Amino acid sequence: MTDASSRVTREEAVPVALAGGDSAWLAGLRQAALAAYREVPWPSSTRDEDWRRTPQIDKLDPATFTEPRPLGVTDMPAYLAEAVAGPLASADVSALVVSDECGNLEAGAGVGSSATAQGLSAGIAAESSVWQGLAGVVAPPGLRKWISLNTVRTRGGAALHVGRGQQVDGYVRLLHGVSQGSASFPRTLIKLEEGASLTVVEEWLSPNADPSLLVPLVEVELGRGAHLTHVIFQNCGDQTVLQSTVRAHVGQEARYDLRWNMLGAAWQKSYFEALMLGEGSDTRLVGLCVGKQRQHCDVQTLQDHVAPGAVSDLLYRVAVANRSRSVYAGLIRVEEGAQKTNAYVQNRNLLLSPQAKSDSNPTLEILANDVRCTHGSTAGRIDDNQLFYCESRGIEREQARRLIIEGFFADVVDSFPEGTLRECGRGLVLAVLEELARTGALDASRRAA
Amino acid sequence: MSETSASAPAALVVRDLQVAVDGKQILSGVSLSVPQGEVHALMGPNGAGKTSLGYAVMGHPKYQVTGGEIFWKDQTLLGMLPENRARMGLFLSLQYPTAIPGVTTVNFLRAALKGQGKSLAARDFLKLVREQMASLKMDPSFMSRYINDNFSGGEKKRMEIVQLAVLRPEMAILDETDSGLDVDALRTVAEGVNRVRSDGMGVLIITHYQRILDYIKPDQVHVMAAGRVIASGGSELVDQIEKDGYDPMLRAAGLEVNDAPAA
Ligand SMILES: Nc1ncnc2c1ncn2[C@@H]1O[C@H](COP(=O)(O)OP(=O)(O)O)[C@@H](O)[C@H]1O
Ligand SMILES: [Mg+2]
Repeated sequence: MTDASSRVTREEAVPVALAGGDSAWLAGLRQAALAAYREVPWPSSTRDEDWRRTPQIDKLDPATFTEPRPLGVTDMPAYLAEAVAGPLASADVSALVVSDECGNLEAGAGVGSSATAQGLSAGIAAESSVWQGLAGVVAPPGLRKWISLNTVRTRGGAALHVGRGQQVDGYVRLLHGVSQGSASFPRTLIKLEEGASLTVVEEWLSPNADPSLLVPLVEVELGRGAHLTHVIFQNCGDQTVLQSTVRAHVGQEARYDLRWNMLGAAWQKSYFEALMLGEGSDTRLVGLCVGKQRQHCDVQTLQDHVAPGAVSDLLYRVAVANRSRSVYAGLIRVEEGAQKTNAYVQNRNLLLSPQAKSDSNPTLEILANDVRCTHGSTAGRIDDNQLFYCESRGIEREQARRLIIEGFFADVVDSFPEGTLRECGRGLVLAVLEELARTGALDASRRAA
Repeated sequence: MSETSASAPAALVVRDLQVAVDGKQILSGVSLSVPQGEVHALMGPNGAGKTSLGYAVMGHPKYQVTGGEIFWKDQTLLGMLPENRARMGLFLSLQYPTAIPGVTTVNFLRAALKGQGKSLAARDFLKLVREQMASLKMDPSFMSRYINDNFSGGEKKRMEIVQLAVLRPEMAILDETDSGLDVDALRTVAEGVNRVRSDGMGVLIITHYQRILDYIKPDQVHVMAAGRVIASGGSELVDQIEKDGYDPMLRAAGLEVNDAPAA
C-alpha cells in the first residue's frame, strides 16, 4: 500500500511528466519503469552483493523526502545561483543547463549548426525520435531500482545532441541540484553522431544541512569515431544521499573520456558503466574521491567489452580521512568474441586516519582468449619515508602530508582537460585538503623524534 | 678518539649516542664532533651504523635515541622535529633518496625553501633551480618530473646535491653520495658540494671510497663499526683503509672480522 502523502515509497512511485507533458513513448517508458520499480525489491546489504558494504541502503526510505514546491516557480535557489557563478563559469561555456527537483531552471541552447544542449523537456520535444532510441535503452529500467525510479520520476535534466562531424568548442555545463529536503531525479541524455566531439561538465550539488536525495542518471551513446569528454564534479551537501548512474554505449573507434571528482554527500552509491559495443574504441575512466568525517562513498564500475579490439582503462584514486569509508567494486567483463581487448582497472586508496577504511574489489570476467587485462588495488597510509624526506628538507609535517596527498592525486587531476576544468579540479582537491588541515585531520598523532 | 678540534668551535657534537630501531640497538655509543666549516669523513664497513647516525642526527622518527646527546651549535637536537633541524641549517643527503610520485621536483623545492623561510620571488626561484640543475649537469626536464621517481641512482644523487645547492645548509651529511657515480658524475657532484662549501658549510661525508675525498679533502676521518666509532684521525686513515681494508682496525677494536666484511 502506498502511503497517501508520499509519491515514492520503497514499493511504489507515482509517475510525473515533463513540463509541457510527456510524449507518448516517454509516458509508455515511465509505465514500463513503474512496473520494473514494483518488481525489483528494495536493495539490501544482506541479500545484494552490490550493497554488501553499504548498509545505509537498508535504512533509506524514499518516502521521507518531501514533495518539491509546485512546478512553475523558476527562480533559482541561492546555492544554485552561487554555483552557476562559480569557478566553472568561463568564456568557454557554450551552453548552460540547470535543473533541480522542480525541473529545468535554465534550458540551454543550440551550440553549433547541428548541435543542441537543452533542458530535458525542450530537447525531447525538439527531437523526440532521437531520444526515443536512447532513453531507457542505454539504461534499461529493469536493470536496477534507481534506474527505474529515475525513469518514473524525472522532471528535468539535459539532452545533448551533436550532429555528424560537428566539433563543439568549449564545454557544455550542466548543473543538477536538489534542496528543501526533497528528492531530484535528473536525467541526462547525450548522443554524439559519427565523428562528433563534445566536452560536457556536470555538477551534482546541494546545500549543506539539507537532508535530500539526488538520483542523477546519464545515458550516453557515441557513434563511430565520436569523442566525448565527460567531467563530473560531485559536490553535494553533507546530508545528501546520492544515487547516481552513468552508462555509456561506446561505438566503433569512438573515444569516451570520463572523469569524476567526488568530494561531497553524506553517502553515495555511484555506478560508472561503459559498454564497448564498437570495434576499436578507447575508453578512459579516471576519477578521484576524498572522504571526510563520516562520509561513505561506494563506487561500482563496469567495463563491458562486447566488441573486439577495444581499450578501456580505469584509474580510481581515493583518500579517506577521519571516519570516512570508501567501497569500490570494479568489473572488467570481456565477452565471448571480444578478442584483442585491452582492459585495465586500478584502484588506489590512501588512508589518512586509523579510523578510515577502504574496501576494494576489482575483478575480471574473461570469456575471450586473446586479451590483455590487468586489475590491481592498493591501500596504505602515507609513507613514513616520504614524510621524513619532506620534513628533513624543512617542509613542515602538515604541509608535507598535503604535498604527498596532492601528489597522490596528480595523475588523476592531470588527466582532466587542460585549462579551467583541470584547475577547477585541482582547486577543489586543495580546498578539501585545506579543510582537513584546518580541522586537524592531517596531523595524525605525532611520533616522538 | 677526538671530540674537539683546536681550529673552530664544534658545531655538530654527537656524544655517546645510542639508537634503536624497533627495539633493536643499532648505535651503541657513537661520539664525534664536526667543527664549523670542517670536512669530516665517516667510513666503515656495511652495517656499521653510518646511515643510522645520519638519520638520528636528522631526526628520523624510526631511529629512537635511547641514550647520549646530539648538539648543533650548542643546542640539543633531541626531541626536535626534522623540519626544525633543517631550518637550523642541517641537511642530510640520503643514501637512497625517496621518490614521491606526483610531487614535481620544482614543487618540492619550492615547498622546502618556503618551509625554511627562504622563499624567493617566482622568477628568482626558477632561475636558481635552473642554474643549479645546469651545474649538476641535469636536464631542465627534471624540474617537472616527480621527484626521484624513476630517476637512475646517479640522477637521484645529483638531485640531492641540487637540493643542497638550493637550500644552502650550514652542515651537510652526505650519505654515500658518491656510490654508483661514474668518474665524471663524481667530479660534478664533488664540485657541486665544494661550491656550497665555500660559504663555510661543514660536511660529514659518509663514504667507502677515497676518490670523493680527493675532491673534498677531509680535515678528520672517523671509522665506525658495530655501532660505534672505532678510530678517528687524519687522512692517513683513508690511505690505511685503502691499503689494508677495515680488518686491522676491527681486530684492534676487538671486533669479529668475518661478520663485517668491507664493501
Ligand atoms: N630501519 C631499520 N630497520 C631495521 N634495521 C635497521 C634499520 N636501519 C638500520 N638497521 C640495521 O642497523 C645496522 C646499521 O645499518 P646502517 O646504519 O644502514 O649501516 P651502514 O650505513 O653503516 O651500512 C644494520 O645492521 C642494519 O640492518
Ligand atoms: Mg649506509
